[in-house]
Amino acid sequence: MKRTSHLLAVVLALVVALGVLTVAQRPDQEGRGVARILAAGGQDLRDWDDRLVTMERTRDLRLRTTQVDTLVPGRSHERLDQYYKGVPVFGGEAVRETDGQITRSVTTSLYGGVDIDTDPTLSAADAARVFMRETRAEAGTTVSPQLMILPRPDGTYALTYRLSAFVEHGMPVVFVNAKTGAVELRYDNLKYQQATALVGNGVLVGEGLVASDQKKVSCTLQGSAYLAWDMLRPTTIKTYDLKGALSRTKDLFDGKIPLVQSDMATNTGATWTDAVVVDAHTYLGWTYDYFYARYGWQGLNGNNAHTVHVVVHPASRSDFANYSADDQSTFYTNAFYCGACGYSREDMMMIGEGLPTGWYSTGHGGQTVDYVAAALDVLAHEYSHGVTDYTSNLVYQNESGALNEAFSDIMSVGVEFYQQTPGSGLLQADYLEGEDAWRPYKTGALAGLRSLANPTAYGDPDHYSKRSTGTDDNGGVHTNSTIASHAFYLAIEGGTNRTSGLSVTGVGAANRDKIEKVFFRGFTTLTSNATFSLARAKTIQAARDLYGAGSAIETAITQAWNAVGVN
Amino acid sequence: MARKLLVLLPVLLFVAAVTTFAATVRVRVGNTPLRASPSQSAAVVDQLKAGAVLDLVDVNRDWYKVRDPLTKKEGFVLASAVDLEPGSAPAVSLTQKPGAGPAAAKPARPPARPPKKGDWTDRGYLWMDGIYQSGSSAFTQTQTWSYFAETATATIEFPAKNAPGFEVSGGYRVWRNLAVGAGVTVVNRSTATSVTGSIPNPIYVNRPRALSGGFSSNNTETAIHLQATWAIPMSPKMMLMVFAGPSIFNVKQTIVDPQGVTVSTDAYPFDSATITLANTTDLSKTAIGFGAGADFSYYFTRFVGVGAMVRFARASVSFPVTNPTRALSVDAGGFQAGGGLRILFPSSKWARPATPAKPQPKPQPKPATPPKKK
Repeated sequence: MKRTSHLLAVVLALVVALGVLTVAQRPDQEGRGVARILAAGGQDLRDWDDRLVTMERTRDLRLRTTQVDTLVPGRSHERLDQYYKGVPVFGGEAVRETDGQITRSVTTSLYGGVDIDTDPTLSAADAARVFMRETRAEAGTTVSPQLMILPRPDGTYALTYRLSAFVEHGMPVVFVNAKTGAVELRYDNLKYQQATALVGNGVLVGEGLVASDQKKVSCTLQGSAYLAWDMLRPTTIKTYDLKGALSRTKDLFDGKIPLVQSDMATNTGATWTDAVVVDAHTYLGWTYDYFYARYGWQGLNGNNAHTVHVVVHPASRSDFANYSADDQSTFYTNAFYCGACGYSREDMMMIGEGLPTGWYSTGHGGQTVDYVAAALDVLAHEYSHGVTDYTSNLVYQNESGALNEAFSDIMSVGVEFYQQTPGSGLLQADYLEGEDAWRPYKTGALAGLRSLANPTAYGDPDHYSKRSTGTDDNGGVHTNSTIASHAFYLAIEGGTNRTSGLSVTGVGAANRDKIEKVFFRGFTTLTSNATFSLARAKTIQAARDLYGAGSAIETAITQAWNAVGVN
Repeated sequence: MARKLLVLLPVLLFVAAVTTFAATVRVRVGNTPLRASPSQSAAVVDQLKAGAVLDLVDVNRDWYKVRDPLTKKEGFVLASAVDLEPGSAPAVSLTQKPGAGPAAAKPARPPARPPKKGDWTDRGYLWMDGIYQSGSSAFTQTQTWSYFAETATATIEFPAKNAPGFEVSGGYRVWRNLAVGAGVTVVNRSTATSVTGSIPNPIYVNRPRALSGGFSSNNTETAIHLQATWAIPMSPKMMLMVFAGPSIFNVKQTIVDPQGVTVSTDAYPFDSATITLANTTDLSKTAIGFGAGADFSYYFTRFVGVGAMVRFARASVSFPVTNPTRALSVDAGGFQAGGGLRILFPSSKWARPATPAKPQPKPQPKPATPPKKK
């Protein structure tokens, strides 16, 4: 197998020599590091197609999924995982776009120069004990150690066990060195709505619930009560009411107790009285409708195979002051998506309870926080994380994590403009994230958590040069997301980037669906450890495939990425 | 099959009619002379035997024109020399003088007024027609029902549809040219309803969608037309009749039950909905209206011919409907046009002139000069 690795190194060296690629991140001189490329035509594509076939033959690439392209008829995207001596390489993968028997493009994040012993010294149980100690997870927490080769930032590789579980306020992913037991990497795979926010007490200005408008709750009659169980849509959506029992909520996500029907939200009268259930349940349905109508994408994985479980009332407002800051910023002023989570490895979401009267968030000039379910874009954001998990599966760390967040924000804005009329008021579509739940506490304070139109107003970068490079927020997955989502905004609305001064000719609101499709297709066919640069290449390629090379759409996409400094 | 029977029925009845009505006379005494013309001085064609039965061809004052079915000889005998066979009806010439009929054919009761030219003297008539009815009025039924927490409204249109049917009518002459009688028409039709309306979207408030669809419905109109008929003989072979009177319609109509429509197609993404099914009941109601029309007939023989009829008859029938609660009014009838067999029943007293016998070839006077050959 060592020969295979050397072969790959040679292959990667060849790629460097060929050079003519849409985008390329090159391995080092010794052939180590990642080859992150998009080859979409010419000799490069033919060479890479041949290489993928060769690697498949030697089992160094293995087909994981085939994703049918819902926007370009006849196309499919095969996702192949990289293996070394039968052990998967974390982040190593290739996406082959096919049109029948013809390969249209190849996107890779393939690692070269892997040359390590793949016999672990630690057992899986040893690794689990390390995980428990590292994360302080309680005994009984379900973990599934998986042997995996972890590429290190310095270009070397480590044989590790990958372990993950929902623990208290997050879903830590821990890579334990299978030789030494050292923790090689840890990040939180829980896809939050926002980085945890601080909360202070104060005086709440009265603000009514948003849910003064009527919505239809698709539900199922069981006995004398209706369950928040959507059977009208092809994908099942179930809303669970944890009735403020935070310990039970945690047990649910920790996998200590299963999701059961008795936890589902119910209503006995003709009108659903709990506006939180109404909003969470219907907004997920509306999001499903958007993906279906806009992209032909059905459900989280594209073919309705997975039920969407959403948990509301995870904690009680009356208990707010009794909980830790971590609990408050996780279960009250946040929302998250937890894929393959809990006892039965279901796709679950948690929608925060908001702040009790008299409390406000200190962020963005001071904000009250309503029941988070009030925000359509938040529900759409979390749902979109599920779509990402089943497609590009962008690693929730650093640039790929920022792209993961950006995709969720971009899709959530798409849902708002699809379902609501444009405007700056409540229940209206805009480029803010979460504005219907996070509302200004006083004059001068901002609504929402992020702005795609003006990221810097919320402290987020509008240019690649301003990106956060620290380790907070999983390497800035939320804050850096606005680099990509601002490019999305500029491609539609046009304008000048405040940092670069570069102008973009937007396609206009009437053509927003085209930009949305470009980002959907580009992002859902990325490799899991993609970079901003690869996202740029993939979206430009998507614009060409969908609307033609040299089209106004491609021009807008290219100008937008230039404006935010992504090349 | 039923339609075939309808077509065959008039033919069978035609055959029966022809064999029923033929006049014959019986010679009273032997050696009764059969003469070439109605005159005592006319040449004797044959000597008739006593009891011989002869076909009666025509009546000319005191003379009968007869044909011997055995010898095929035709000629004239004195009416007083023969007896009219029972069941036979002698033809009476329109030119016959009152009281000039044969003694044996004399009516038991003399007519109040002797027939004149233009009088209709048959006992009655019978028609058997295939008809075609048009001009039926369409009607609609509306339904509202709760559908996914909002109200759906469907309008079911039962379209007007022209349709074939059949008719049997008969009349009995009661005074001069006036007859009273009744006709029965039956028209059955199957129509495709069309459904339009507005139906709520199951997953969104206030986003109604257009409703479409339709289903089949049946309508059977059975009408009894009580009609006074005035007959106008136009020639020995042609007759016009005009008639009018009350028409009693029984309508059996498919009506959608309360909450009866069923949404048959309404699946995600709920862009449209169709209704192709409905729970229905065939309700039967009767109403009285009015009908009037005219018939023109042409007779190939003395009593059998064909005719064409037009009629307009209308009645408004009300069906009780509970959703919404109101009476559903259906206009029955319309224009009926038909054609078929015409049969006349001869009167024992007076009769229409029979189809004139071929005139006897008169001896052509010889031209004074032979015609020139051209």
